[in-house]
Amino acid sequence: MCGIIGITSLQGNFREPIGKVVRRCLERLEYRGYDSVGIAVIRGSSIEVRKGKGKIAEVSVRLSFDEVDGLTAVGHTRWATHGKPSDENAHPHTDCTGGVAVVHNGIISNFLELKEELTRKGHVFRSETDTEVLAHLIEEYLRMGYKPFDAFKAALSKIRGAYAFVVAMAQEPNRLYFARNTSPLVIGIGNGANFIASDIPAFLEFTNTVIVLRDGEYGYIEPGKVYIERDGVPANVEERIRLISWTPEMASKEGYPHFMLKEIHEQPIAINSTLAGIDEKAFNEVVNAILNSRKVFILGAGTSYHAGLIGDYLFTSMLGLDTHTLISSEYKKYLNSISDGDIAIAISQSGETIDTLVAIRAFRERGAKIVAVSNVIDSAIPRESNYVIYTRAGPEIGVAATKTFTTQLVVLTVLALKMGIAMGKLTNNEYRGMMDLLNKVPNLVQGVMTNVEGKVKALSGYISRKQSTYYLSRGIGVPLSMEGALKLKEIAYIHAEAYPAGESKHGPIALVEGGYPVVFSILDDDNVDALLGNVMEMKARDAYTIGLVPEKYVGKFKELLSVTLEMPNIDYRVAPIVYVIPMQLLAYYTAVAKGYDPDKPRNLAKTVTVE
Amino acid sequence: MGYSREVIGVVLGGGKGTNMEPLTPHLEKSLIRLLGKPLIYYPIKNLAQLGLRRMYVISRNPQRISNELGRYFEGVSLESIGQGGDDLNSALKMVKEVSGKGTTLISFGDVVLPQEAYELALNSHVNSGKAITVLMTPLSDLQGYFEVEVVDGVVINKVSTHKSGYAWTGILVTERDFLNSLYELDGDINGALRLFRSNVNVALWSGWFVDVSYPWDLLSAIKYLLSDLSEARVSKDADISPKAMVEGPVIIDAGAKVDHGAIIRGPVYIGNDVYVGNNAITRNNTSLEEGAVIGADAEITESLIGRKATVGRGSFIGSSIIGDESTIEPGVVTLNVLPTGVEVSHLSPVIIKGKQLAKLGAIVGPGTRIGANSVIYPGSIVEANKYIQPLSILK
Repeated sequence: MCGIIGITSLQGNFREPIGKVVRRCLERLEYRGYDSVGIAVIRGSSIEVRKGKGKIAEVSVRLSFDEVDGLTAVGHTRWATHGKPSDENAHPHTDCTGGVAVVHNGIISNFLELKEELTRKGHVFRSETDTEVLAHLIEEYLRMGYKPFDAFKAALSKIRGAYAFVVAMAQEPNRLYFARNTSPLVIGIGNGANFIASDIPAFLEFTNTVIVLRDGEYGYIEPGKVYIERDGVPANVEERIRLISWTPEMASKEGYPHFMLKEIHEQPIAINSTLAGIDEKAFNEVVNAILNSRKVFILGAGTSYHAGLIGDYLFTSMLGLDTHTLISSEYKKYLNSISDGDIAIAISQSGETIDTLVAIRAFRERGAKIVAVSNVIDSAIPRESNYVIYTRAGPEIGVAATKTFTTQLVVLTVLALKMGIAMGKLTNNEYRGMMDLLNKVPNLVQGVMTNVEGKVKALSGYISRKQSTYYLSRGIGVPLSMEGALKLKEIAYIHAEAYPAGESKHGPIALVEGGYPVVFSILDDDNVDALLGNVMEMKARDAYTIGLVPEKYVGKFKELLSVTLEMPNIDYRVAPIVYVIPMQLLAYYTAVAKGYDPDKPRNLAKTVTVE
Repeated sequence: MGYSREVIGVVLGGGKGTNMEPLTPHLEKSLIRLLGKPLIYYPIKNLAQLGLRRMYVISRNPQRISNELGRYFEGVSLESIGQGGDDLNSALKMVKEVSGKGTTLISFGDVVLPQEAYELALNSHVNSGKAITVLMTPLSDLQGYFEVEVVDGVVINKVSTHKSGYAWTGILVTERDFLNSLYELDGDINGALRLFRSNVNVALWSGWFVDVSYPWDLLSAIKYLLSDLSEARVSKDADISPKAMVEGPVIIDAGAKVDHGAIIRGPVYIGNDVYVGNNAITRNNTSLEEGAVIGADAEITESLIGRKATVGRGSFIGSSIIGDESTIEPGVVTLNVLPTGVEVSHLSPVIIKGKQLAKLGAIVGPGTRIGANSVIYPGSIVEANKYIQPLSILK
């Protein structure tokens, strides 16, 4: 997932250098990715490229984007999924002459053979990316005497895969070529400038007149001109024009009122990509490292800590490992007990969480090996770790972690299963059965979402009038409940406490009165009967009991529950990935019912970079 | 390049309102008044606020709709046209005839949604570049609603059982080629959705939504419509006694008179020429429509009192709908608290002292007279133009 922008303008159209305009457009695309960024501006008979690894705010200052002036420019912001972010791999990519600059979103599936062929013809590649082949292909055709548009079309005909391209050529300083196949691309028609971008928000500051391109279309923009073609047939440009009337922020949510709801709904896809992207080699290295270690520490903050506790449950109960899970900022307690031969798994969505970073530095100093689990490739924590496992949830914009939590659970569960095989705690059949189940999780998540979203929305009306709630369970359901409670606290601003259900009578039940909401997570494990008793004791105090119940136990619990949310019958080791969905939705809808913006909870930031 | 394409709005107002009896067929559903405006005014207002300037209303009684709506919208071309058949398909089929070359936004005339929902639908549509966008919203009980199912393609079906899922909000944003297919398929929306399979966009609305298909839905609609109100709006031509107490968000229109000692506790709407008598209490999401009369010492809460209806001295009306020109004689009591454990669908739950109770009063058809000191049990429905003897007990 990457963000693309291209601009062609008339002299004097912008009252500032075009580099600054491109930089602002790219900032609007930051939600598509932010690990590296670059711009290319046509200047006279050559193209000036400035690009580098890092966030837009930082790179644009370092490389003075704002000073580059010209009339035609392209820009790109990258989110690496394969190949690490680096200065060389940042877009735009150029050909050998520097006369062709390409930005790209998507994957060129036949790039290896194209690259080989071009290398044989003497082209020199400077990056590891697939994108660069298009620049050299165009160069090749230009050298053969093709006109620029023909060279572009000829190059496209060679390329297989999913893509959105924008290409600048020094020979035609007022024109940008584009092509779309699967990856999105939108044209913006302005006064004295035309735009082409992966998303509308990029240029919404300048124009609200747009044409959304369709698959298989290609063409070019100039200031005052748009040309679109498909299979050689020109499209009727006038008929395709639409006017839009919304803020840049709304456009990027793609049919959802908030990023958080979008990201909740993206979880089936995020889990799928994480499963598909499992790097066997990396996992095996981590498995070996853990096998050869004495103690296992797991650390994280907030939601990542809860994911860690669930991983801990599997490591301890299923594998019998000596596991200690801690909140990153509390690492000092353990310093005295860490030595060579220990291993620590550090979980951080952003890979930049300062508390976790500080903790792993201290752990490393005392000889522990570090395994990073992160969603951002080559971020600080992965860089300072011995081993890295990536979740592939895509960029997460909502402050409340949702899809990054479930994908963290996926990688921790897979890790536990692989450990199980290596330690002889699981048979091959058990392992395969569990992996099959994990592969079904995206569908299960989708099914649960469809079944419960309406019920949860109705329930949120009740919860939104409450000041306090409990989230109770036993076993692996306890950290799951902690995550549910955190969600409600952080975005709906309702006090929520999670504790093991057996603790009720040791104190907390004193708070329960008529109508007090208690959310029970009942999993298909050996705690069902004990939890039945815990639900009864809450019911006896007239609590408002809400239960996440496996289908086969619905009959057993229904009478005791004010609200029953039916869950699939699923192995308890995988269940948290599915059970957290209604909890995320409950927090979301409660926040909406109370009139709060779930994407911007007060006092919170997405990445915590201060201790 | 000064080209622009107007989005055209089409509001389908032809619902028969069979479930709305006894309020219909005396009055068409789309013309039932809420906060002083006919129900169909609300979707049209949403479209107008979206910036649409050309709209069509398809209904079975175009002349009457046109007479009722004409006065509200300036600068908007609003044309009222007759519907061929009386089902949804025949209305959908007609949309093509009024649509232009560009985008057309279709909305049900009996759906009440906040402005943001319309913005979401249109934005998502343009952003997607698809031929059609369906706006849906999660609902705990889909019975009586259209369900949107998204599994390898999109299907919209009426639901007759109790189940949770996504309801169609009645909003479609379409392009010309989709409407052409809809026309060729005689308005069969699922046929057209199948045809456009990979070219269908779905947007998910997470805020409030009321599809008025049962009378009780009118009470939810009042509650939500008043929820946007944050201040009192009192006409300078209303006559409010200095001894009356008005608090919270209220709208009081011209010609209304609120007498000494009356208490108005918002959110409340008081229409043109309404009279509220001495010491009467009007509170919590109540709408008193044009010309209604509330007698001294009466109490009205969470109710809709129709045009020129009269509530007699000392009556209590709660969670109820009193039809136009009905008369409630003095001392009538509507009981509105259901015992716990009674399930009522299409009703918003109300919380009292930490317990969730379903509140449900009575529906009194238009032109009916309820005799003095009668007691009406929860959920009672009294037909239109009836006379009920004093001291009756209605269950």
